Amino acid sequence: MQIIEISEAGSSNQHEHDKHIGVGIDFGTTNSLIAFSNNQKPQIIADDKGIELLPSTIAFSEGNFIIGDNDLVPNLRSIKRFFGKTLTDIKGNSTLFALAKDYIDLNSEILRIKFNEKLLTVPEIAAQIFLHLKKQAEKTFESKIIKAVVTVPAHFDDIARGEVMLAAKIAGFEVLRLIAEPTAAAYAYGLNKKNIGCYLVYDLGGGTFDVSILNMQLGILQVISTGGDNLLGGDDIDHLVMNYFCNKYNLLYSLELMKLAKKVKETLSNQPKFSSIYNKRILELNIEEFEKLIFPLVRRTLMITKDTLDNAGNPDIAGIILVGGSTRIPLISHSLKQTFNTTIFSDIDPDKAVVWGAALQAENLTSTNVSSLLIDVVPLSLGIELHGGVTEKIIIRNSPIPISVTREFTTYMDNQIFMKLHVLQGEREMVEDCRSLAEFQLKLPLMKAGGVRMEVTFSIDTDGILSVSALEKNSGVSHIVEVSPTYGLSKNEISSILENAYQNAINDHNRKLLQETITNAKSLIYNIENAIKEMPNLLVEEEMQKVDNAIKLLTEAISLNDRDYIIECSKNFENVTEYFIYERLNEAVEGLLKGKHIDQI
Amino acid sequence: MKNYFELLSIEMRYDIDLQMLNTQYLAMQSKYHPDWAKTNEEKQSNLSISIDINKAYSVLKCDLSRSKYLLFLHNIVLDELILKQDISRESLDYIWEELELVEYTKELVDLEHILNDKILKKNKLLESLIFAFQSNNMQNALDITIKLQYIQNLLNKLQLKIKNLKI
Repeated sequence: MQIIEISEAGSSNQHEHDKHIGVGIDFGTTNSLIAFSNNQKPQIIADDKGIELLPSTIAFSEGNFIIGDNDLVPNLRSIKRFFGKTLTDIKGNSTLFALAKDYIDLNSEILRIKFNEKLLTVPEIAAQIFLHLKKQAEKTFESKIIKAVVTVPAHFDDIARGEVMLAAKIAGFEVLRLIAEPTAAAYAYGLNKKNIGCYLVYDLGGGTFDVSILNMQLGILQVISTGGDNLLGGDDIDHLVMNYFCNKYNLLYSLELMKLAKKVKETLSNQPKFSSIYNKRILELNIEEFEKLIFPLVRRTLMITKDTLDNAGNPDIAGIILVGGSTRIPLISHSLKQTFNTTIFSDIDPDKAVVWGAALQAENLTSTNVSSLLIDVVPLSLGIELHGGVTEKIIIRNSPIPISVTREFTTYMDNQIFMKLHVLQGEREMVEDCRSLAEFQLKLPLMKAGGVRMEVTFSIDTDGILSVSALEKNSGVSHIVEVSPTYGLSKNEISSILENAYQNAINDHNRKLLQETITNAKSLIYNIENAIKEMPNLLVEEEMQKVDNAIKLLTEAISLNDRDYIIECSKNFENVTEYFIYERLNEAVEGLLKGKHIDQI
Repeated sequence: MKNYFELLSIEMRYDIDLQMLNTQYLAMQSKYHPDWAKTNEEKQSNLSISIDINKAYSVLKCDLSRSKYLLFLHNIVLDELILKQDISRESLDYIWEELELVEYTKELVDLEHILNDKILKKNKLLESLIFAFQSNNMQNALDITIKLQYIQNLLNKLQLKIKNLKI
């Protein structure tokens, strides 16, 4: 029985191995990175200034999106924190609200951000960062880069994951797979090759906290359990510091103060005291006060970690891998060492481990010499709504993928016409506490209560994609239910966004070519005009007239912004002025030669 | 049609070696995981095998589901009906009392006390379950499994309540 059809996008029946370059992308809350791996050696693709970490900030200036400039204001940062969130979610969380309040459209039902006088969805904006990374890679490789493995927090629900995929798609990427960040980081450490054992990954990013317990052996990385908090990260530490400053020094919130607050955790990772001048005052914070301030947050992460270990059956942990810039804070590694009494691994830069892992997986999925295998798990339970507003779990969290579960359901009323199939995600009992993924009405054959036999199958493939199908056994009618995680956006809207993106890409490209052509043309004119200034009497009246005309024509063409016409006029210009240049050169040579004896040449 | 034990090449018994189970599982996945397939057809066929391997692993890994599966292989199906029928009046009262106790206990210390108590009880049940299967006493195995189901439910409730108190 065929369960799922796997279709490789854009490929024919048999391809032994894919020649396309596959990159790994870490779309982070604070920084984003792109990397490539060859022969199991990952390398980050830097920009032309050699910078590997791209700040995940988006600003708009003079008709263009500016990515990665922390100083440009106003800018939108930590956009990753908005994936999968509804307006209600944002309003209910103070940190998120502070980040978003200047941009949210409060009138819209779904989350829309006001940017450059347009109302955009989160994937559309996030796509700009993906696009920037894409261009960076294409510049380095001098060819098109399409295939990518993108990392997401292990705890992202299907809606958030869907939005990440959509953002990457809008930017022109084909996402081979979404992999969990802790898994990617563990992969980068390559421990599965050398050692056997259980490792714990503690990933404290800018906006999310993830814990994963992995078993490594025989070249296989097997995820055993995951845990985390979608609303807990380094950003929250910055907020605590900022509130501290506001309270202690009687200050008001400002972007400048926020920037200062962000520096605190970095400074205190190396020095015992932080002091800085702000608004003509000295702001101070020493390490003891800082640690007291953030201890509740750290304690929460420890509790989640313990919980996750419990879920894994409390295995012996051979080591803890630290991921995320915030793990540089000494209190964290100290607390972990104290609580779990095991080796702490941080020799791979905690900012880079994730993208390295993604690049390695991209290499795995685009070549035949594969040496490692990642067996991931379902991070959150999936279920359906039963009569009474209760969730019935069909796929339990931490089940290894690929997985397929079939259950039979029936009606509770006679002659029911429709059966509601409401797909939910989450651990809670009541429907209202779970995340709604999709809702469908299945048409039923008319039968007495309990007569209907609706067989529902939930399947998740190796790429982590969920598909749901339903088969009514009496009538044999089957439905394939599309769980497309496009929360808030209709199919048409998505098509038009993708089309726009494609069109925009073409437009951008054309605009660039036009710019280059205009620049060339302008410099042609400039050079000639300078030459004329230097030697005004070189040409006779007629010739001068020709040159003048050519200049006028080309100038006009430039103002029309018609690239083809400009090229035409440029050619004509060069022909006309060729003679002038020739004459000038002769004159110059003659001038040089005039004062010299033949002996000296 | 292979059963789960055969699929993972481990001996069919209740007291399996969990370490061995894991090693066998990983060995099977490295053979049949779709990511390591060379062609698209292989990928497709491997997908359903991989799904079965995962299923076998999940069922055999957990004490309760392993027991139910072994009963199933002996043609005893433990479903809702049996759960309700085969339980005696006393047992039902006892279970109800336990649930109420968990419901009404508020103090963390007390809850943890009950938890540890129940864990000990569960371990005892597991011991007798091993014995029941070894001596091929299926009726006994069925009875113990039913008790195991109820105690597991209780443990889940306790753990959830304790977790919520700790947050």
